[in-house]
Amino acid sequence: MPDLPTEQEEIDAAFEAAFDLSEEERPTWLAQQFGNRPVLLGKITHLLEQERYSRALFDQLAGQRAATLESLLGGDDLPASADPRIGKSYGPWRVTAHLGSGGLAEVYEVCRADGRYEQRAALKILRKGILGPVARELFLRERRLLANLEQPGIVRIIDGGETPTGSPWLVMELVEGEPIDVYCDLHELSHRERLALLADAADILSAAHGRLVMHGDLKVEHLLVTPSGQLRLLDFGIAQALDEFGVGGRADGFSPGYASPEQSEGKTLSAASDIYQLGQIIARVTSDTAGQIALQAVIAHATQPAPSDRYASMAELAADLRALIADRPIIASPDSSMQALLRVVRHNRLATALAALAIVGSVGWGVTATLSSAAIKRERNAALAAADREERGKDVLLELFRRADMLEADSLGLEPAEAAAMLEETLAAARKSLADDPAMLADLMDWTARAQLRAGDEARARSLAEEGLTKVRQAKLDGSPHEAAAMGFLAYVLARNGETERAETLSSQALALLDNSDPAEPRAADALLSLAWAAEGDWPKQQGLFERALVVTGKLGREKQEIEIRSGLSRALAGQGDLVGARKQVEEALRLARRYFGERHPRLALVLSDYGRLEEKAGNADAAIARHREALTISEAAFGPSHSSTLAHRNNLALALLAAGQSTAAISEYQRLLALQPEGLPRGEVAQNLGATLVQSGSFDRAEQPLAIAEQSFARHLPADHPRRAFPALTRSELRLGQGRFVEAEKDARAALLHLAKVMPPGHFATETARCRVGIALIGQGRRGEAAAFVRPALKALEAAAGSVPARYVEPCRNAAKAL
Amino acid sequence: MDSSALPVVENGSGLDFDGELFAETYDTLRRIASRQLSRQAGTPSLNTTLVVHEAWLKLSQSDNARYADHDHYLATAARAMRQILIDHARRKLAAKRGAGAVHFELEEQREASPDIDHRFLALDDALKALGERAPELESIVECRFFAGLTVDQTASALGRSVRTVERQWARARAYLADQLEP
Repeated sequence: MPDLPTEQEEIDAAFEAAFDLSEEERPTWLAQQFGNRPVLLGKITHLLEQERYSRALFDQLAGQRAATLESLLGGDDLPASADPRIGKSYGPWRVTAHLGSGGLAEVYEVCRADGRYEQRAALKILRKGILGPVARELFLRERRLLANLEQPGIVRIIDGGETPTGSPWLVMELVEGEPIDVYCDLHELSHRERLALLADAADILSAAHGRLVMHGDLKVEHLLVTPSGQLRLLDFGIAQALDEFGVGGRADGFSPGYASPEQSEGKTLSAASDIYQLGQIIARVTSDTAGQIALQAVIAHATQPAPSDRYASMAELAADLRALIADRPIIASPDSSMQALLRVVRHNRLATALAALAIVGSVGWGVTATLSSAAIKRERNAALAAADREERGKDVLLELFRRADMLEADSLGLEPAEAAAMLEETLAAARKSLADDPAMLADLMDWTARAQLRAGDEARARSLAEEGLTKVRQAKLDGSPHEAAAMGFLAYVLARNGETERAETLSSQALALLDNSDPAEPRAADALLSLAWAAEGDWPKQQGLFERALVVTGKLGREKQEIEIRSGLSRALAGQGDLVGARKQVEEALRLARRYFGERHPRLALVLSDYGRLEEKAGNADAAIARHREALTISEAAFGPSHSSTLAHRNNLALALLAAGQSTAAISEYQRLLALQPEGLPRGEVAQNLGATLVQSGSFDRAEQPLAIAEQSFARHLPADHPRRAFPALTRSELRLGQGRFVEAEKDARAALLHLAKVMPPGHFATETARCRVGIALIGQGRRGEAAAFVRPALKALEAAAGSVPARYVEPCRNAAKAL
Repeated sequence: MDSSALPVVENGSGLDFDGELFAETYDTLRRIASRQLSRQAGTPSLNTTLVVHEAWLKLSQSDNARYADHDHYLATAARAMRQILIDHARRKLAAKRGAGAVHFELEEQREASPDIDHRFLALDDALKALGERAPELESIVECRFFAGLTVDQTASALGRSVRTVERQWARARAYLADQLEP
């Protein structure tokens, strides 16, 4: 039975019923219904009166509503305290205040909410209306690149994520400062001081263009000057990512007063657009002090309507600004741009090769290269225009090469093979156009050889290293640290190749050279590093070389190199059993890497991986797993799950899990790996490891397919006499024994035995294990008589080598011998 | 789990899907309002209904899946609009009297127009109180009054019949008038 209605419910029901009646009918109806309940009747009547009055009241309130909206639209401060995001958290960041509403995003002040350390920062939540789903993906990838853009002049992105509704958010440094024009006026900066700030801006932009990131939305509000006078650039690249991919974002996003003509027309942007916008800012910031013809020429050259008529690169604009300050001649004058054009024509071969570089690059790093291929083309033009202006031409060209160097390219996510191919093409062109500069060619060969090493083409790396050394000598640099570096590198390549004798000869020659030259030389540091890596395995020698290299880089202040050295030193110390010393070095390397590259830079993954291996060695299985997992997370976040670096780190993690006896976790990592690994030898190795782990954990059925994949892959990619070719069959023989399918087990064991006996030294435990399994399979078939001839000698050999053979291979054989 | 491994989030957690959706709507409304600044003089000024609809156009263009139904959006937008207007009124009032204490000047006469911001804020407070007792009336007022939706629009936004909306709107007005009456 339902509860009796409350008085309130009665009033509500009566009110609505009466409301349906006309005004005239109401009193009669009410008297009928509630005549005997005067209090209730009074309340209902009162409410009906209030309803009548409320019409006028709400008309009045509607007028107030309109007035409030009007004043809201009329320029009063917009409400902020009621913002639903205040007090909420995004990742570890808690929103404390609304700072502003930009064209593309809402901006908030945040502080770290997890109390780990005090940090205030700015949170940007990208406006959802601007981003389609594709654009969002591209934006997130672009963000990864920006996160790696470590440059003091660029406001750093610290964190990022996605809202529950899928809008990307970024956390960046909170910069206190004033827009460049306000700052200049407020502090009454002189003409020169203004130009110096602008030149700083051009330098910062130029460095970013070098990393394939353009700004895209330069305006005075994005060029902040801090109280200490330092220039910081805000909102890097974001506008561009949105402009190119964000449907409908353009009209909202850009500041119309600054848009370049191509931007206004909605065309693809390039670095030239940044040049245009900076040109406008120069005009604005110097307007009070203008009048100089040279300055006007610079502004005019930067702001030409056609992108191809502007400065060829931001570096050129920076150089001209500095030339203005120093009162030197500028490039912006008409005759010199004609000369530049002639130079481009003269070097058009290099142009072709460098254009190819842009295209190949775009395969490797989809988004960024797409975003920035235009930027590379402009860099290319800069290289050409300056090719015979010796120093700058070299710098730009070398910069292009360095960008493809794998350690640097870590932040770009290029696949090693693509980087190598890219460098080879450019090198081919450079051989012609720079034939008269063997020293420069030697440098290019060195970079290319390193890229080839990482891409796995040892033979090509070797021949390039040889040629590089020849070129250094042609350049009459023999006896110099440059020669020592080339020799050291060749020694390293040879050592990797197993040509130890020649490697050692070269090493000692290089060391002799170094003893007689200035130790505080960048090339000397390079040489020592190569020599140290060449001494891999000879731990005390390697340790000495790394320590010597450390002294040199310390003098030179080359922090980046120190990271590599300390990682290597850690390895050398671990090799000698000094785990305490090794740990100290790898921790220092990690600290430096974090300081230099930031928390999430992919470069950290390498150090973490070394750390993980050290922990494995020290028997700290859990710590090892944690380190490898950290490395994997960083790599995956930076490059995605299928990049070769990510695959390698996942493989390391799986191995560490396996070593810790966590087979289930290892199996799941291997399965992910197998799904992502492209065709090639590594895919076979992953499949083999997965198959073996599954067999060991008794999951026989699931092991079949990976073993078949491994077998196929090894047959295709390993030389005929490679022992590993027998592994899938050997593992499968164990599987078949486990399943009790003895005939098939015998067949697999025999196949493995046949191959291993041929290619392995006699008595090796893999061979003997195969031999024993033939016997076990025979016993399973009831052919005990034949089995003895396999089991007994195998057991004897296995027991002889007992110390080095895992028990899981010896035990079954011992049991089989008993069963004979 | 080791508690030290867990970041301690003081105050607010993250917004859930609906909360974030509300925040986005709020942003959009705020943005449409602020963009009015750059409009040419002479273009018709917006009323709340137009703002809400323009916001719908913007949000629906970007990603249809989010606001699968326009109706759900309208209710959210109405709530956001209430918050924006009330907050603005509150700030204006605070600005007017500096840091002084808020005091309501209640007029003897109904016809006399009391201070605009007072009445507006009083409406919000009264609506909050009403909403605690009768949440179904709060959303009606948000749609009908703050977003300026018609009875029909309100009915589909809230998934109620037109007749119900009419009755509830009348009842809400009556209660609010009662509260706002001096």
